[in-house]
Amino acid sequence: MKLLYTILTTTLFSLAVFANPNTTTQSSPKKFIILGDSLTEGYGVAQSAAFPALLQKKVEQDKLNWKIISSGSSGSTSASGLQRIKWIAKSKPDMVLVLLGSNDGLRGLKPEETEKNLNDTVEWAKQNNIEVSLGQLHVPPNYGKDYEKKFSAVYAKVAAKNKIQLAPFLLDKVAGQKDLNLADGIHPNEKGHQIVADNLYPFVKKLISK
Amino acid sequence: MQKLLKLFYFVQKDLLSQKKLNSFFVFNLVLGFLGFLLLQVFQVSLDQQTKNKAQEILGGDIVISARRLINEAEVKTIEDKVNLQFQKRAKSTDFFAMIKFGEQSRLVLVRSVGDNYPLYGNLEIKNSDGNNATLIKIMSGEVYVDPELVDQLKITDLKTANLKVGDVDLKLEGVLTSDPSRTFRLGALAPFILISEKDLAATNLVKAGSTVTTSFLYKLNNPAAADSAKTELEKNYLDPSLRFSSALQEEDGGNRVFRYLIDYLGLVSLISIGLCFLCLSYMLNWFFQVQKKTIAIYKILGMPDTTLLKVQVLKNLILSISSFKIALVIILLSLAPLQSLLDNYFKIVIRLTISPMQIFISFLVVVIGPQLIAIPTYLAAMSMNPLILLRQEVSQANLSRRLMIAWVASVALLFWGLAVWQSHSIQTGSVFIFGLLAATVVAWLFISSLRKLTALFVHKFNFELRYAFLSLIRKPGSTDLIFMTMTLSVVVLTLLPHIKKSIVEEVRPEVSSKIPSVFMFDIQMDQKDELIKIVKEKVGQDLDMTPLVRSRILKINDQSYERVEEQGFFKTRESENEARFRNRGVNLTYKANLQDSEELLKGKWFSATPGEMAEISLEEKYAERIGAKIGDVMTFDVQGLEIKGKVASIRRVRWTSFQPNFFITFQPGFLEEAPQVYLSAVNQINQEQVRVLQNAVVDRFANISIINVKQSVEKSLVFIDQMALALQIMATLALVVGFFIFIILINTQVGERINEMNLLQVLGSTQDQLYRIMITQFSLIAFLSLLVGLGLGSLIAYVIMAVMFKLGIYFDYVSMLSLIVVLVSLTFGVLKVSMRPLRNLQPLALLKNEGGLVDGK
Repeated sequence: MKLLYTILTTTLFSLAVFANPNTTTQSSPKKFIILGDSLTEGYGVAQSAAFPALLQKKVEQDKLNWKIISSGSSGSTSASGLQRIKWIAKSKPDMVLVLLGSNDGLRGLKPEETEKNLNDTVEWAKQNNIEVSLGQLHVPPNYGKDYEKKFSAVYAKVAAKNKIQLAPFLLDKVAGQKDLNLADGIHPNEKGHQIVADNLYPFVKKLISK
Repeated sequence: MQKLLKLFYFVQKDLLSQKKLNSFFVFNLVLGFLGFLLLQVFQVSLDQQTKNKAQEILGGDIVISARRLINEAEVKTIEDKVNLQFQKRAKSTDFFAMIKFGEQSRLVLVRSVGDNYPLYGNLEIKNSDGNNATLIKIMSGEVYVDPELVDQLKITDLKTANLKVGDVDLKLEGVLTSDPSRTFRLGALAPFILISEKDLAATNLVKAGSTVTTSFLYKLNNPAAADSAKTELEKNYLDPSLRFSSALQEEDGGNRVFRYLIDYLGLVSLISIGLCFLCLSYMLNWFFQVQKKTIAIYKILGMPDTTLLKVQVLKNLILSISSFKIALVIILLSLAPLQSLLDNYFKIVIRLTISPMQIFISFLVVVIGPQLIAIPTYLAAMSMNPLILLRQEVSQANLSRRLMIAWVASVALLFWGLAVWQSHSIQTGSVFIFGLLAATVVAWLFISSLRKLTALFVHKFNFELRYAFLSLIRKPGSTDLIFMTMTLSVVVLTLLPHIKKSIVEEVRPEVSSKIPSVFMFDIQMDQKDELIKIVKEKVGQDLDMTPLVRSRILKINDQSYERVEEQGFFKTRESENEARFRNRGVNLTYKANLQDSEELLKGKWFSATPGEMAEISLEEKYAERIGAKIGDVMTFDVQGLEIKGKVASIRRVRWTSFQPNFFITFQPGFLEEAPQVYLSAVNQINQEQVRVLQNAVVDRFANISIINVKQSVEKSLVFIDQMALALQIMATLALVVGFFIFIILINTQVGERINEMNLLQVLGSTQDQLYRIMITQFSLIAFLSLLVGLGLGSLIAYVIMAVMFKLGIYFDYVSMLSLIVVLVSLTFGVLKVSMRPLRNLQPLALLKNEGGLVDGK
């Protein structure tokens, strides 16, 4: 009887875990790493006020057993993607969201080069069985229509080529808004990061709730 | 009226009866005034030149800017609120954009400017015909570009080239050859183009979401009010997106050089005032000493004390004013040849001028000021018995204590006020005055103790030595006066070379081979080896790579480091800035050794073998700002991974060294595996090599930014070299003024002793003995003054360098050695000349009391 009870309990528990992999009853949460630049690093705001930390709060509110980890590095370009995904792979992430390329755009690098770098990063992740997705980025309008168009198109191309999910533009409703950015006019302030988290969370939630 | 005429009659009689003495007095005063005025001319001209340069770089006296669009209404509100009084205003809008020429496209920094731009300095261009010109106004439809852009866009014919900037085509009118606002610190990510504000809207590039910097530049009615206007603006506007800058209060490295120069020039002013006061107060004292017999005769003849005082003051004033006039005429006549010497020989771009206001202030400082110092001497003399006055020496200690305190306080206050006014800083002026007062007290304690000590042993010496020492001991007032004046002169002369050396060491790279031509950044780990090969192949240099690891500080000793915004806003601009400073992340590097531009101040450098926790080294000012000290444990988040480090050392960094420098350095063995990029520089290559290297690197690694800093660095270095030379001239000039004091001191003191020597000769001393007595006395005083002066001067220089200027400590031993050699040679040279009368001493002169320079028949 005791044995039967044990088997039954174990089976039911296993079924429950299978039914909802994100349940809080799991002891060790899965890792969702955001690989990005100064936006991800939360340049100018406390780490606890940057959007990865705010996403983590939302995940906890929804009782999803995931840990959102920020891996942002100010000034980094897409060229650092491959090296850095190899670094974070050591911590065995379950999912990685690549948010690189803003600095490529701001420095006027060739969109073809950015595309190649992002492809290399995504391909390596896939080859190493890391579930990866990509975040859409844009350059400010002052870079000119042609460049803006070519640059923005890179993300859709990489996503399509690698058959991965493309997150919406994280600075939507934030870019260019004086009240939502720091004095440098580029990096979001605390309020801006809150909106960035709101912009991204539906996408993240969908990914981790699969 | 009659009384006044009578006063003038006495003065005239007095002046005529002592022509030789008065001429000697005037001659020495002229020398002193010449030195002071020359130093003033240099100081003010150099100060102005430095400020002009800072104005040119900022683009105005004050600038209101933001990394967003600022419209006219907003800026008008700001101007009205603080009542900004200005002559002219210019506007510039800066943003990055991709521009096109045919099929070529390139990232550039666009600056659109209005009619008044630039407010200061000139924009020099080479126009499309190849002629050099000054750009007065940028017309609509025109564009001017940096020279490298012509290469990069492969433009072959400047005359027909049109550049597409956004939606508008602009005619290439010329290449910018010199732009005063472009310095090393602005070594830009992209070449620069200049367009008219009228074309900005047509480009269609500046709209919602664009990243632009708008700047309103002001030429104020009173440029000196820029700093206070900036403070006022910051107080009234808490909006963190608005930035207010004034020419000399910029925080970035470029202005560091200017601040050092301005502070140094302030110090030179103080020193010139100090030297002048020393020289003139000594001269007045001496002048009085040699006139005391005349005063005694007047007193015996019944002249009232007040009349006597008036006659003395009036006579001294007439002589001082006449000397000042002579010195001024000489200076005015010398300005043109001096200017030509500076232009053609030293190649220093400063305009030597002297304004009426400067002349008036100099007059007050050097003519009126020293009279105050002589007040106790006058008063003491007037109140004395005429018989005492007929003695060799007059004591000055007969003033009532209350009067003496009042006099000391008023002189100290006057000198302190002058010091603060000249240095434009309460701190600098106070430290200088305190230093001089302390030096005076130490020098006095030293000489009075030495006098007492010598008195105990003097009987053991032979006659000449004994006599030399005794004559110093028996005339304490005279000995102290000459010793203190010489010592203080040496103190102030020691300051300038030491501080000059420290400033030059701070701003000038010590090894010319380390002056960069290009900077490279965003070098990835896997690109490192191939880049090293490319550089070796193209320009034959071995590349040094500096790793950069991005991180955030989480804790210092378990205390949270970052600042979280509370209730949606920060209370003050300072709290906002502090929070942004703490929250913006830090760049780390790691290395095994200190580099040339660094100096260990506290703690010890890294152990050879890494322990369990990393050792870290912090830059001194950064450590101060974050409140970290040796032994503190700092926790870093290195892109998701926590790493702890223990502060093992605090170091000073020479930020102007043109080398990659970091606030935080890690011991090797902890960050090698972390994601990192590298920075590097290629030094001392020519323009063609720069071009070849840029093309090769960009072709192979598009992400690597390779910035050509050759021109801007060279321009900065030329300026630094010119300033270093100007500082050297100033220091030399101050030395020359100091030498005058030595000459005057020895000359007058020897003159005073001629009677005494004559008496000794009558009593049987030989000429050789007289020479030896005199040389012993003066060598002793000169040697002791040099010793004490050099020691005290070096100590004060140390305090100024370390505390006020916050510089690395460099003592200029060569200058000190030269100072010793020159002062010793000068002492002996002047002694030799001034002792000439010893050869022809006549006993009869003793009876006539004709010693030294006093006129008589």
